[in-house]
Amino acid sequence: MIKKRFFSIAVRCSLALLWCLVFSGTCYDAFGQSGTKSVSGRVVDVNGYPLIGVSVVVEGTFNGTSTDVDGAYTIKGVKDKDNLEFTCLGYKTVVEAVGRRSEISVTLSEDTSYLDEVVVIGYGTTTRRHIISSVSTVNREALANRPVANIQQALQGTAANLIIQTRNYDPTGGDQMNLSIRGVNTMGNNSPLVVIDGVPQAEASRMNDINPNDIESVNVLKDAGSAAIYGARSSNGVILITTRSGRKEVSPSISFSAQVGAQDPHILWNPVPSYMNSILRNEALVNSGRSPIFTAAEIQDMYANGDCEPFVRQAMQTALQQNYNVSVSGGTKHTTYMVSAGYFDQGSNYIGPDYGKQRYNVRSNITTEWGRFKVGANVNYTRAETKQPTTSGFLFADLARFPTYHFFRTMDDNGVFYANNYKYGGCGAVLAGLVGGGYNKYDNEYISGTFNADFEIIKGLKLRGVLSAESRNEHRFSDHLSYLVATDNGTAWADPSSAVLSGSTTDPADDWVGKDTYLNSQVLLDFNRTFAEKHNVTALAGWSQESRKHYSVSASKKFLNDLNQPTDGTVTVDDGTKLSSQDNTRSALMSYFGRVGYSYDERYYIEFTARYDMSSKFLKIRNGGFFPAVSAGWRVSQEKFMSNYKYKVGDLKLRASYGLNGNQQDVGLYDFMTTYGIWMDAYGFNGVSVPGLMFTMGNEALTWEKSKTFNVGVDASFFKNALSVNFDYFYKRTSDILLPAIVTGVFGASIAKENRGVLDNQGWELTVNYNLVRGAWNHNFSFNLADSMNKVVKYGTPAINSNDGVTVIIQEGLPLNSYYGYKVAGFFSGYEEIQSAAIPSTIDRSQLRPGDVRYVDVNNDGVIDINDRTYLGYGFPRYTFGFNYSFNWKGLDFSIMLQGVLKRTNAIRGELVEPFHSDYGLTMYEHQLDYWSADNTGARWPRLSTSGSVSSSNNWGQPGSEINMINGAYLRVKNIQIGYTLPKKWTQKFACNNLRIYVDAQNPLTITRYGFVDPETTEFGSNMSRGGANSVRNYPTLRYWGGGINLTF
Amino acid sequence: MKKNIFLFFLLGLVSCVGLEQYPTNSYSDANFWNYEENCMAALYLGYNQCWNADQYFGNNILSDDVYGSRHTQNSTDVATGLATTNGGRFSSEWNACYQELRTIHTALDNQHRMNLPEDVKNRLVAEMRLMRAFTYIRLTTWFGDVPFLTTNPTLPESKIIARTSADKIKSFIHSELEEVSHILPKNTDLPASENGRFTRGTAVALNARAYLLENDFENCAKECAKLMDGNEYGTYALADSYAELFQSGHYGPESIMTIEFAYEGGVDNIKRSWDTGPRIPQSIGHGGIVAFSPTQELVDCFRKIDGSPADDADYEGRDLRFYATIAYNGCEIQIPEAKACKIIGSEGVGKGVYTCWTNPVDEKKAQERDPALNDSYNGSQDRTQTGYYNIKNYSASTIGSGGGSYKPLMEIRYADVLLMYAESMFETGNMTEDVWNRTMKLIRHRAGFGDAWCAYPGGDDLRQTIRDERRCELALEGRRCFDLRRWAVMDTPAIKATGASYLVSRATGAPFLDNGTNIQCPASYNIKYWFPVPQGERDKNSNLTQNPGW
Repeated sequence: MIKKRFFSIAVRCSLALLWCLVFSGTCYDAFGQSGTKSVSGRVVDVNGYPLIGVSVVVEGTFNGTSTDVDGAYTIKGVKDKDNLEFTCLGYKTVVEAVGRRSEISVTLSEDTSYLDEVVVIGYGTTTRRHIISSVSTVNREALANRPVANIQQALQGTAANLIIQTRNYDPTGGDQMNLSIRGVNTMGNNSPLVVIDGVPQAEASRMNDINPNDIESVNVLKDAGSAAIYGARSSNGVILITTRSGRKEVSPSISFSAQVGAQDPHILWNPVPSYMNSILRNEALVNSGRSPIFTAAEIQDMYANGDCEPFVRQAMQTALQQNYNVSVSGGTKHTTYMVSAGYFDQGSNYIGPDYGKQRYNVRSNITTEWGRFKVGANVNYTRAETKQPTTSGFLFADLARFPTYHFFRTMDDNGVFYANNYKYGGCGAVLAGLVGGGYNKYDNEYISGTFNADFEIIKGLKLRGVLSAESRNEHRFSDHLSYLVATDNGTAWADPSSAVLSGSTTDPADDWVGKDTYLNSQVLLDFNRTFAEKHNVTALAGWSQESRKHYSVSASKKFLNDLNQPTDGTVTVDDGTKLSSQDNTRSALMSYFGRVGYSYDERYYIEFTARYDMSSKFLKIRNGGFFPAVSAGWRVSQEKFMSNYKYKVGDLKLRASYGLNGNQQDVGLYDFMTTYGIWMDAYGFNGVSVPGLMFTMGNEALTWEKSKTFNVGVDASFFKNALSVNFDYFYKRTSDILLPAIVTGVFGASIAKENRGVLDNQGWELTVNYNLVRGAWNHNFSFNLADSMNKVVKYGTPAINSNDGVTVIIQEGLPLNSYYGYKVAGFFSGYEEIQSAAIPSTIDRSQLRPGDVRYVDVNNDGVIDINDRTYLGYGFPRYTFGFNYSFNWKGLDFSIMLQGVLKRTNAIRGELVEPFHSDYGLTMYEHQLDYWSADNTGARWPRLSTSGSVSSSNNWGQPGSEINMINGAYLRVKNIQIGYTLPKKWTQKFACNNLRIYVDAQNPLTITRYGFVDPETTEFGSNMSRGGANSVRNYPTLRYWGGGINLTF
Repeated sequence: MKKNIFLFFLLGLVSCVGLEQYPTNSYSDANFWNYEENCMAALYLGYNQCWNADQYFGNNILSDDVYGSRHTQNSTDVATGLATTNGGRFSSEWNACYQELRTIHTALDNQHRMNLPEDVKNRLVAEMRLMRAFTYIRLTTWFGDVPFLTTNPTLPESKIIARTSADKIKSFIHSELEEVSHILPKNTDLPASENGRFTRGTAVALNARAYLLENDFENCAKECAKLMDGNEYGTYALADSYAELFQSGHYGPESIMTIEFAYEGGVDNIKRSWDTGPRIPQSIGHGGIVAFSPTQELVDCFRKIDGSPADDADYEGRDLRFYATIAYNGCEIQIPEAKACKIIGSEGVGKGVYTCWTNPVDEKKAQERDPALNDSYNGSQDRTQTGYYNIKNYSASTIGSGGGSYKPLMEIRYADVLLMYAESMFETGNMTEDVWNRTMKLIRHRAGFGDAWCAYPGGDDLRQTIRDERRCELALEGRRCFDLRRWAVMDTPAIKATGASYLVSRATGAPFLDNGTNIQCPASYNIKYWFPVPQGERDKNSNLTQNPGW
């Protein structure tokens, strides 16, 4: 018996021992000074069993030992005033003052903090011990003190299958993140529902309005069992955000934090030197059977005079980012409070008139109770200001494509901008729009208040009322300006006085004001009671009513002076004016929901959840939807036959859930009814025009998209709960997906939407957390890995969408919007191969050369045509992972966060893959130098050619070929932080409880195969739909370096 | 405190939005029909969708009068017999008709909601019913049996509806037209501001047309007679000048049904126009691909003024209608005011009269005389394929700089009624000198023929005479393809061989299709009798059967 136990304990603590040896085991016998003594004793657990390998350390020193097989230890060199610290993995650390004792025996109790972790679920909370559905929790520690602009950025990589991709790094560029839970679930909007302090938000991006520093925890509800309580909006998962509150009977604590850093635009590609570019361009021309255009003298001149700074670098700068927060929190016997204020300022990396973004937050969370009453109020105010250039999204592409000729200039000190006509192409006045073209300035204010009142009717039964209101006021002022442009001719510079007025020469400006009002009232009845010690019953019944109103007003004028006053009182144009009666909407949602749970002896769990939603977006007779779910759990480790396991290993729980969730995000407010309008000049009588009716057919049959999700999971802990592992597998079928309606001609009109698509999605996620306390060392590891894969089940005629040289397909049996096109079989090695190979039907074989792309004749018909197109990969990340490691040791703390993707295909187009693309890409980049030539037959890219040549059409003109697809797997060091907390005895001298300083970096390092593209960005929307842009035209990746200070009084 | 809690809830309840929402920034059924201008807008949409210039001109391509091009591939394929059941010409006809029915029934189904004076509403409803009959004539003529709707279908209904026999629909057409012919105003009672709206005469003439298409000559003659005798259904007469008729006669006594356009103050501010471009000489059109080349066979139909047949390229002294219909090599054409181009023969830029060259040799000579001339046809597909262009309905003074004309087009005119009457009387064995003098004689006289050719020729075999007269009089007005069908002559060798003249112009000897890529129809005129029910429709509705021959 003893031997058996010995073995198991040895296993349990082996890892602990290892750490013990590494960090403290090597130095404990070096002591033996006078005035010290030896202390011995025995360490047992609550059942009296000896604990082996318990670390015993004299606090604040390196003097330590560990217990033997009997739990006994002896430690030398101990002084009376010392403290002994007993630490063992999975147990709570005990510190004993030595005093005069020479024998100190202690009993360690299990550390159940993991099992007791609070998990926020819909309309309530539970603990990790009892949860029987799939919920990930991200706590404040993982979110606070991060140099991020918003909470979405902070959440990247923190939870398994919470996939957050960047669409654009531009800080002033609006909502630029794709947020999805468990991948692609529908062909429409995949955004999860975001609920802040119990109040559902209209859009996921609203979470970015709150101060990340105010957040206590973020819980991600992934399966039907947890999400069904949010009914018709839950099929993409739910993110619950809980803001901080004070704690009872804690004296006021004032925290102050400041964070300052530099955002550095990390441009991942570099033009080759201009002389080299000219040589390469000549080579491309000669390869295409044309004459070189750069003379030796010109190339010599470029070589001799060097290069100008690439335009992209001229347009970009390092920007300052600052973040300051102050909060006061605490509580008395009946009241808790948390009041905070924050200021965030992120400068734009564009040069120009003070572009950037500022956010001000003020929050007050207060609750008070007396007797059976409890009331609380959470009030938040956010003001966000943004100033951005008016220039379009192609700015970056425009900046990127020019060679760095030494004579290219962009602007001078007199405010004149320069274009340059040189040889073929030349450059436009690229910086003019950015610096002189005007700006859009947003100032948005959001005020929200949530008021709660609780009343405990009888023991275990609470009545709760919630009233939440939000007002969002948004304002944009756009000022479009004119500027002077002169045109240089190669090295012959123009006289600035020849400049002509360009840009918005009518000097227009416009205002837009929008207002959203939101009201939500809820009444909840909550019951939780345990009978006869073993029968726990929980029940929740609720009613909720939500309504929204929106209107906007816009106005515009032209011919304005610098003060935006009309230049002469006569010429004013107000075509852009829109009254609030022209843009206003209202919507409402009323819901009943409930949950009933029963558990027996903390062993068997079952829970039913349901919600009935009624929405104004549907025809009255079918505006209701019922969304039920059931979850069951079995804590195997609570069984009698598992008592040994429970003791030796830890907790083990199996759980499963199945249920129905809904999604109504793609349903317009009045899509179910036919709406009418009037259009001008529909017909005429006697030559005079008359207006005509126009009508938009509604679809009365519209209903919610529905997802059925099956989920199984295991929650297990090891090493007495120090190591926890959660694994989930899910299978989800979403049906009634909204797609353009299939309408017969006889119907006589088109209908925008119909519930007809079906999509399957399945995947898994693994989360591992490990806490290791060894002496003064406290390590924390957390790791998550997840995958999801979707498949179109029902769509109809496949949709092939080709734009920007990339083709995607929606076809039954393939993932939604898969890459589609021609497979590449390498490059032609010789003329014989060209003669015999299948080539594109439009290509003149005699013009192909070795080094041109050879395509795979998929259907073996001897020619490459549209029938050879095939699935080429998927652009949604698979095997996404996050890894976070932190430790602290005697005031020093360190954390590193890694995040990445193991599998993803990424299609890139345009000038970044094709040299001299379309003849408007005028420069090559360093990463393109690995092109095919007789000496470099193993090249990544085909031989050089120019636009319009047969080779170019063959190599780059086949829409959607594999040649421009790259492996998008990557590992990124997302964040590193090193901090130091000054010893209390120093800081207390100036009444400071805690003073920590730190330095940190965001995105410092990325490991990926193709470094010229940021692998984290995506050109896809959340449903894998593609806009015109692609990832290389985006704002560069931002890297941040900075530091900060945290102060608590 | 308790009070406060309830106040909360109360506040929440009173200020929220109800679950039943109607748009607050656009109209719904609940309020749209309350406004007279909205009801009228529904009527005007009906007019808009009922018939348009592209359809008016496009049907000519389905006949042996006009050769289409790559630009009109869908129609050309129908004419040459190459179209499949997926052909775009078939589905566009089908869809356009049912879209019009959707509009009509959207209004008719909401009659009870319309907040209109009774007489205004009655007239509106009658016009809508006329449009519906017009649309069913289109459908039954081309497709035979079709799904028959008198109210809007739901989407599921539209996916299971079967075809109704054409006979049943035709009797509906006749009774509807008969009924509305008593409700609508007479043309003489129409104020000028309502020029273009349907009248009693429209209903009667349309009914005559419907009978004619069924070869029901007895009833056709009865309907025609309603317009020829007495004033109960309006007052009609032939215009004096044929040429003038297509310049300004659209509101004159000959006009019965028009397609309307709109402008404000002239060519500078055209609100609604039709594109003359691909149909008229390219130097005054938009210079794109020609979609409309009249055939030599049509040209040959126009006789010399003495009634004798003309040689291919003999353009002197022809039937006056020829000059108002066809642009030929060496003809003179007015240049649109708004058109800024330097054309052979014009005085300065965009003014006066110019000489139109359709023969490349002549064109080249003219350009050699003045290299700056802008009368070149750049590329063979931008040039007439036969040596002829349409000039009917071309009026230089109504064309804007973009090539759009606002001149109304006459879909039904009184000459058609006279010709229908003549044909019906002949086919029913009632042709007499009196009938001839009231119909054929008037028409030939206006065409400039001498008395001898205008006189009643007598004899039993006037059928081809009447048919040829009809072809010339109504040339390029979209009727020929229907006439060929009802005469059942589409398979006669002479007509099927029309295509031969496409390849080399008999008029100029020029190989107009100078490279293989432009030859769209090596086959001759080869149209099938029925349009097929579009395949896409049958894929969505398994209850739809297919027409014979497909």
